[in-house]
Amino acid sequence: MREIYLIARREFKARLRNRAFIAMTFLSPLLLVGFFAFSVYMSQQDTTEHRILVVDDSKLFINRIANNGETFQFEFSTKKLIDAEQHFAAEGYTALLWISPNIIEGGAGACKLFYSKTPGYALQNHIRSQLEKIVYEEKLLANNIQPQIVSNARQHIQLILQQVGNSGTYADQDGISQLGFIMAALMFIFIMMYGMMVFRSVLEEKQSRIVEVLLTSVKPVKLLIGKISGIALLGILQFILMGVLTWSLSWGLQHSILKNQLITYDDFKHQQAEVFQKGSETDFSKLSRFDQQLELFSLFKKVETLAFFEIFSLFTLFFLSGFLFYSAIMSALASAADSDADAQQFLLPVNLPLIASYLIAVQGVINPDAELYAWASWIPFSAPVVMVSRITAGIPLYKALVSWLILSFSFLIVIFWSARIYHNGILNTGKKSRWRDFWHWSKKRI
Amino acid sequence: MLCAVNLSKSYSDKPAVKNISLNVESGYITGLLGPNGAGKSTLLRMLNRIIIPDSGSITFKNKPLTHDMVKHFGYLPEERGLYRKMKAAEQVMFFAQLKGLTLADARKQTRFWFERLELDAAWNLKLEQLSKGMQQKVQFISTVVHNPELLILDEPFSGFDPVNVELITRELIQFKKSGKAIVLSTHNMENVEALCDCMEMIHKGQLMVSGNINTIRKQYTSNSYVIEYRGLPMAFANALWSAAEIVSQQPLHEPQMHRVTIKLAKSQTGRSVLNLINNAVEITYFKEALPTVREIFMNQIQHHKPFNA
Repeated sequence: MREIYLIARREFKARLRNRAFIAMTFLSPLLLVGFFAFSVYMSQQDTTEHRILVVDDSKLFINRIANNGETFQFEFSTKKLIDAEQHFAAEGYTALLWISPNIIEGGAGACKLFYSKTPGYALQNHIRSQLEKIVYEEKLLANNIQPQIVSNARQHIQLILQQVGNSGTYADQDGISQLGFIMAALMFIFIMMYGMMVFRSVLEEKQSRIVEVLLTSVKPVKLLIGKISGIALLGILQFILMGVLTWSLSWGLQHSILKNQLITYDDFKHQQAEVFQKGSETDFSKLSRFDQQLELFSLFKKVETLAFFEIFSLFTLFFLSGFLFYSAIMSALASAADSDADAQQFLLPVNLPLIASYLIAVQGVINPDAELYAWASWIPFSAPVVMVSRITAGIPLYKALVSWLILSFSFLIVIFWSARIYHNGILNTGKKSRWRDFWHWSKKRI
Repeated sequence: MLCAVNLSKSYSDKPAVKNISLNVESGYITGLLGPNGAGKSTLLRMLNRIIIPDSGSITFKNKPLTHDMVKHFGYLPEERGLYRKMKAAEQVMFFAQLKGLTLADARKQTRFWFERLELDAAWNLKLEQLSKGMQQKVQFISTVVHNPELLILDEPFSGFDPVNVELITRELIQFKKSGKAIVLSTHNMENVEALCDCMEMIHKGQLMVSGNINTIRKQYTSNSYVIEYRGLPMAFANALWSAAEIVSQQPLHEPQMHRVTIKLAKSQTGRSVLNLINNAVEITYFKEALPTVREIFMNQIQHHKPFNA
């Protein structure tokens, strides 16, 4: 045990001091949450104030385009377009909206926005939706239909996903599919990244011949277990640090710069709950947030509301066993490689099942009832990536644990097979290893 | 101390070592000689249990060799290797701990060896920051830091400059004096002659010559003598007559001083020849000319005939 501890400690310490490790641990949560927060913030914010002069040659919109608080203010002019275009900037307007006389007949280019200050997406969207709404009402009136009647007849459907748990509890299903994708992708990246650390480490020790000295003190299987467990511990530490950091950052952002945006989201959730309760008696005219697109918020909110720690723990368990399983195979392959070119060739059989697992997971998230998706979550090669994507969709805990046990047991088989190959392959220098050598080595006693 | 009997090892049915037996004793340095590809490294790896022989047995202090016993060995492989990104002292302590030392003892021993080999300045430096000579010293310290009972050194002098060769030689002699056993493989015949008590000469996986170096050299003697005398070469040659053949002759710096190598006729002995020439010239040096290790080595490689002294 002492040798395993010493090897593991060396692997752990050597990488802990690595700048790349430090940068990744601290920067990636910052970038992830930062990017996400920025997207949410920007999608809801256009703080640039605009005064827009409107030249309405159709006379349909006069004083009907609604201002958006203080941000977008519309003023109507009776001037000709040519005069307005020359003077709007000098008069303190940021943009000039011209509406053509034949707008009601339709056609692209019926309106034009001249600007001195670049209009953001929010302004463009506001103008477009206001004009569309008014044209729509005008067309209804032209056909003797009161817009109010149509408005009352329109029913916006908000599909609320609600899974009923075994214990009768409700699971919040917003953003589940996105999370499934993210979890599968993260698992794929982490197994690959940490597996490559083991692979590189074995290759380095072989190429520099340190392994000969190590093998006079440590048995190959202990060397292998020490190496893998040191890197696994590093992975878990990185997970915990990244998890805590992500959670803290997201919590911090929700209570600071995204506070107002999330109040909007909370309103939306309350209104959703109201619809759920009242059903057909709901007065939709009072539900201001109900037709808004708020998926981004929902995913963001997940970090706080979903069974975060349960998912995090299962993810960590699957990472641990998945990493152990793959790194045992990768170390055996690395031990047989005599050069970097050999190494690339030997990596192919590991890359393929991992990539296939990810593709299955992606398809599975879209179509959760696919048989392949279920099978793949039990097979050790694909279980880590596929099962974590299923966890987010609320798979029963015992299924996840059985899959994890199968994976862990498979590791125990693989590690002894790997140790035999490792022992023989690591001393095989100056000669290119062939695939059949693996078979011979795996039968040799050590 | 370490006894190997009939060791054999093949790689893909190609024999690398064939039925080699050897005995390594405390307080002796055993030189392992052989051309490239002779099987020296394979033999040393088997002695370290890095690879398991196909047949034969190894005992250490009369007990079958186990992995734990190998912790009492110090092994310096031919192709050196250390962690390039790891600090020199940390690296040595890591290997010392793997050999069973506690952290405190590992630190103490590392400190001792760093001072002894004048490496103090390298304590906190990464290996890649050190010169090649310093890296070699760190590797040597990693081999001896745990005070092993047996040192197995594969080409210990390769990569060292003459100053460091001298330094390492001094340390090896010190180890020998303190009763340790040393096995070293080398191409350098002069090293073997100067350092080793015994030698094992291997060629094509087979043991060609084995035993005490002096005994082997005597066994290989060709009945030749080196003589230094003062007098006339003609008188010396006449005195010898048919008792011996002059192989080489050269004048020395002093007047009338000469050095000759003679090969005795079959019926003659050193004493009888000495009696013959003693009256003709003034003998100042008379010694049997033993073959050098290099000559024995070359002879064995050319004739490929096993010999056991």
